[in-house]
Amino acid sequence: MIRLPDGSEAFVIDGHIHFWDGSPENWRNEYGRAWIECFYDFHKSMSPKEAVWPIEKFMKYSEEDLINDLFVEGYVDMGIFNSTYLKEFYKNGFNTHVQNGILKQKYPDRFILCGSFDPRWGEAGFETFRRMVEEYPIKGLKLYTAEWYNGSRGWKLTDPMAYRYLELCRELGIKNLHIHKGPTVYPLNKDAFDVHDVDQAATDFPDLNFIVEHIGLPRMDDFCWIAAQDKNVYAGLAVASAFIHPRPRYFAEIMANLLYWLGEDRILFGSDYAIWTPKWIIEKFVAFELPEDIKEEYGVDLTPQAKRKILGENAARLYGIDIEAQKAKLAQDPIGQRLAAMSA
Amino acid sequence: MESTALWRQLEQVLDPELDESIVRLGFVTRLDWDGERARVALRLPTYWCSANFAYLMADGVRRALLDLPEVKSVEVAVEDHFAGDELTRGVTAGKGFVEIFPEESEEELEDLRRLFLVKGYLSRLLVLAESFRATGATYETLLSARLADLRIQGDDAWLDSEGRAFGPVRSRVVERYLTRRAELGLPRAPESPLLLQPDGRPIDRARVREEFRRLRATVINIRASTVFCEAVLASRNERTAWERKEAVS
Repeated sequence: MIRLPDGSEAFVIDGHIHFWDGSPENWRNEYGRAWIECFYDFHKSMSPKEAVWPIEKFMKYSEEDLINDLFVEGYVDMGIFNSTYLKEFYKNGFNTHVQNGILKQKYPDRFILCGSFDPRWGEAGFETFRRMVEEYPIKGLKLYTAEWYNGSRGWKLTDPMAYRYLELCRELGIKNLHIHKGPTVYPLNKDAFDVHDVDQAATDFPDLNFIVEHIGLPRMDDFCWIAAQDKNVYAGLAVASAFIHPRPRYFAEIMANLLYWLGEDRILFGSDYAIWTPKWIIEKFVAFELPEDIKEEYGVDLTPQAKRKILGENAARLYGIDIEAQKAKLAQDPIGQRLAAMSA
Repeated sequence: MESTALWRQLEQVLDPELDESIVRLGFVTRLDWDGERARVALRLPTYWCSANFAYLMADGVRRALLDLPEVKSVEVAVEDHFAGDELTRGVTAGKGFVEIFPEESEEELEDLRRLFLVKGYLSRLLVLAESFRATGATYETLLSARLADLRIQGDDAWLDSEGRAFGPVRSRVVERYLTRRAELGLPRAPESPLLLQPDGRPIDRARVREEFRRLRATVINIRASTVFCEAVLASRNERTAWERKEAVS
């Protein structure tokens, strides 16, 4: 929860968080090292100096770090675990739903847990997928089209087998799909951060919501055209939100584009924790104003109402969360009690 | 021949996504020149940068240097990259992308190269238009203007239109636009319109604001990516410099 300059309060759902293990003990090979080092460069290059961690902590942080960074210091009320597997790089996976599920079990009202599927599992994977949904409180999916698997270096949402899994999502009542379409990490020319597959899948599955994480950067323009057409496509701000510190002017232009092409009802805040900690992003975001010339050029504004929607109301709507009821629950959980004790 | 001539050639090689010189971006970490053979090392912002773009840059280096008659052979090393070995061996041997990655690639990269030439063109067009707008030209001025209305004087460029001179803008802005316009094979005759769509059509007057909004999204995407890549590369270089120092001491 954070207070906006107009005095209103915003309920905060961080739409993109991780609890990963990138420590050397978990590296399967050289790729494990290269992956976490690349993330660390993202972290270090965009964070304010005082928010930069030593690399050892960045590789593996504790449960207490996460609770503190999100809920105690970071204004976050709830977080969405974007589970990421990377089993070809990490012995136990990077942050699987199993790892994230431990925290979900401990603080059930604080987290939304995403699972995943990979069409390259084939029909043999249907049972595994069903079991995952049965055994864990999976409310959404994180789909990573750039993941390596058995010599394949990526897949598309439009692959026929991906459609079979999307049909299974329908059957099992999973409506929200967080699709990683973001920077780098994809090798060859079957360009897996190309965003066009989202277009067709979103048209064919109008009852599912497609949250494009990282707004397709570096394909934001293509993403905007698609999102303008498909009303069930949403913008996940992780990565883009970090620009608010080093490049506020670009952040303003990105926001103006999203407000213009998608509107304030289809943008979801995300910090990409622990690549970036939410505290500074959220503080800057609530204080942020679009420069006059940008407002004029696009005819949009980042009003307090838009900020409240982006910070939490939009995600709450997608996940069927009644914010007032949720606030009451959260006040009672161990973290809520801890916060109450601190402010007493 | 001095190695400065080689550096000048390398200046021309662009990161296709960012539409910026790989030298300016700091991707070239080494150039050795023995009078016949050139050896170049590239280091990209991350270990994971797409192999297709990495190939376009590495192969661009090879071609740009071989354009100099004095250069007999070129070795291009892509350092600290997940496909670094394949790219280094393949590009140095003058192989195509599919030949280097037969299992994982389907087509050569001409379409991709063209796509990013077009995006770069749109970005250059917007920068040109915005620069003149900042000196008082309106969309209407720009849509009525012809190439012949451009006037370059040293570092400054002007647009002589509607009985007045709009400017100055940086002549580099105009030159970058004209270069790419030529690369796309668009009309260069003096009477052709100043602003053209990548397919050669003029910009629709009735939809000009909408068209420019689309251009803006393309440009902010390129700029944000550039900022991100530059910052990440700086962090990477700093980190590995530190690691190397630790290893030595």
